[in-house]
Amino acid sequence: MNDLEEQVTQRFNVSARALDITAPPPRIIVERVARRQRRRLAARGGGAITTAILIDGGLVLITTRGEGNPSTSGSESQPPDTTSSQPPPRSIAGTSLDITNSTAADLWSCLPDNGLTARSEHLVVATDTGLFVWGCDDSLGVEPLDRVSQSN
Amino acid sequence: MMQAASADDEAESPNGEASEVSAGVARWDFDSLYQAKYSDMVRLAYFLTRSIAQAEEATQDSFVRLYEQISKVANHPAHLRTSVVNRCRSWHRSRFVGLRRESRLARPDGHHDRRDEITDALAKLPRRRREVIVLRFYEGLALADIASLLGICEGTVKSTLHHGLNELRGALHE
Repeated sequence: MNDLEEQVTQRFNVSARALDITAPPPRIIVERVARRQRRRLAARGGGAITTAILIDGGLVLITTRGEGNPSTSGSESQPPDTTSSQPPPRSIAGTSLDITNSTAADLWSCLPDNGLTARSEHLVVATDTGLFVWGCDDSLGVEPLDRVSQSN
Repeated sequence: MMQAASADDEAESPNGEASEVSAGVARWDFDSLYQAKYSDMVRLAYFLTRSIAQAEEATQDSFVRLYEQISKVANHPAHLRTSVVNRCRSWHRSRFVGLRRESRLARPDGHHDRRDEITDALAKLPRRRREVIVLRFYEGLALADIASLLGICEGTVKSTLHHGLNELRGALHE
């Protein structure tokens, strides 16, 4: 490294040291990720975000966000998607129970329908290896949103 | 014409033996990476943009993208660096277009937040030369790594570095 290169390196170091940078809390990044995901879903015509939470005893709470249908999981709520042109929500009680021919399932439970809309379906299956949580937003076509397993 | 390596494929790009990019898997826990690299990435972006606000924006945006793809990326620090450089470059492009639309009298370096000798000197260099100089002398990257990151060949890096240093010599001694 010649003199000029050393001089440049040294000046970079001096200038960098003079910059007082404090990293904001990592939750800033997580919040931005969530906002991006919401925007992506909204752009695809969705607007509903589904989260699955496993707690002891195998109880699963699902929060369906968007369309003004927050459920009772205790997660942060989100205002209704007022810009959506989707039809108003309707009940889908029992819809997910139509899918019953899996041999892996020895116990099915359908979540209460009062927190769900026509745009969302959720299914919880207890298998030999744990709980299988399946969720989809039917406005996007049938595709899993959450797949969580937990050892029994 | 070679394209700049995207942040997604940069970690898998073939390089020379001394290349950091090909030095193997460098996976980090996200929080550790964030704490360890945030300030460094802001400084890198600052030298490229001359704006602390934009440097923080580019850095946070890069961490957001990494957070979403962290399981798919082999070399987290290299991916992050590439992402920051690409975002700074995008910012320069959009700013250039914006300035052309708004006013031809606006100075291209009118948004800097603070002044010091090296950033003032860097501001006088063309973007490519500035990137090469910063990656070489601030980040300490090997020529092969710079070539991979910017999507140019190593010979171009050498000549760009040579011309950049000559310009910098003049600017630093003004």
